[in-house]
Amino acid sequence: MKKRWIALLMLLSLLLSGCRTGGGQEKALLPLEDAVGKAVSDREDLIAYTGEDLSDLTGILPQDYTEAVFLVGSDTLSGREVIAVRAKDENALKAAAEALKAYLSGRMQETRNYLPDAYKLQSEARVETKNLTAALFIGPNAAEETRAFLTGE
Amino acid sequence: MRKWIALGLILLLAAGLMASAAAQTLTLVISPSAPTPTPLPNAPSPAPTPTSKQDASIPAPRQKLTRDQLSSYYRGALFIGDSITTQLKGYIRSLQKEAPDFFPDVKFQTAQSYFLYTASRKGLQSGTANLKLHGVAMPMYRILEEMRPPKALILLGVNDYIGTQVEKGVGYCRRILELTAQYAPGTEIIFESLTPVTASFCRKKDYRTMWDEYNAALKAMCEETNTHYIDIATPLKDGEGYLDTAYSNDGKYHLNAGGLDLWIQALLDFAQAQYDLGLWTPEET
Repeated sequence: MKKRWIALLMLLSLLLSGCRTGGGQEKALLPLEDAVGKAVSDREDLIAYTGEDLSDLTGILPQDYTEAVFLVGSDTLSGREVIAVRAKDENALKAAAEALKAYLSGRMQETRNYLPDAYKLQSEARVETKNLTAALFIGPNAAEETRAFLTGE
Repeated sequence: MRKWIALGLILLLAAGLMASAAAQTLTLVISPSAPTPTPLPNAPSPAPTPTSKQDASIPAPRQKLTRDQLSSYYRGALFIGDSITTQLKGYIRSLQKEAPDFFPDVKFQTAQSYFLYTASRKGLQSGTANLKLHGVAMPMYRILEEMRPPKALILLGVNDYIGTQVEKGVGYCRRILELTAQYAPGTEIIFESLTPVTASFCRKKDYRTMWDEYNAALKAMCEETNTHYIDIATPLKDGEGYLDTAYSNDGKYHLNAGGLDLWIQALLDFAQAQYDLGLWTPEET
């Protein structure tokens, strides 16, 4: 009797853990905010912009992503920005990456001859993609942050 | 009995695993669905200070409205500006994290180094900053036409050094009014005064008096055209009329959190004045 219950318990545990990881075939992604938070060291100093801000400034629309994060340095003048988008599919990813490149180019036009420190950070920034995620990190440690973030994607 | 204990264990285990799975999917910064509003702070606002063209005729305050009620005057409003308004955007967005309905549904259209001149033109200006809607650069009037906000608050002119060309600057503002009347007739334009500059910014040239002259001319134009004007400069000035360095974050003209608080207070005071005049009633009293 006891053995039967133990066997039942083990079977149930296996079944439930299988449900949780999608049958154990795919690696579970961290929620995007957590993944970005782990990659940057100044999360507390960053302000979260809205999906509407993302759409207005980059043209990336809510229907094209499953999750997105748009963070800006709290003084809004340093050039510090983090944008990460988990696109819905391959086409949306390509469009998001192009939109982020255009956004970066526009931001550089705004800061050139005006905010030289911000311009320098922007000119060193790159749009990177991995799987269905596109990322644009702008900041003094952007390259390392991007690498750390995309490792988990 | 043992059977019941074992069944309990199974249920506990199942609940634990399911909760853990659910926790992984709940924390998003931006998701296509709207966030759930949380209760707002309801502190009463300090007594209003004169800010609008109707200052002289403000009757005795009817009732001090709360900050939440006052900020609802700007529901759906569009703030247009340069890096200074971008600072306001960041500050309001950070306040909205705690109180999502503070300045409900306000939107921002800003670009660092955006010019008043650019805002007054029908065409895009090459080689300089333009506003963007859905990722596409557009002249300001087109953005108003597309977005149709009930109110548009404009603070521009610092990048133009508009105090050095007062007549031109006021002319640009008149052009903005004309374009708005033509392309977004339902939008009410509200001009905000230029924010002051610090004494150190004026070491080579006294921009302080030029800025003041421009603000006076802008206010006069607003009175003439029955357009609202909000003075956000006065609360930010020190005894000599410069931007008080206590409110600056760069020693020139950008503001820190204290300065942005005063700006927000000026906006709320203006809403209170509108209420006192019987020109507006808050959504919830």
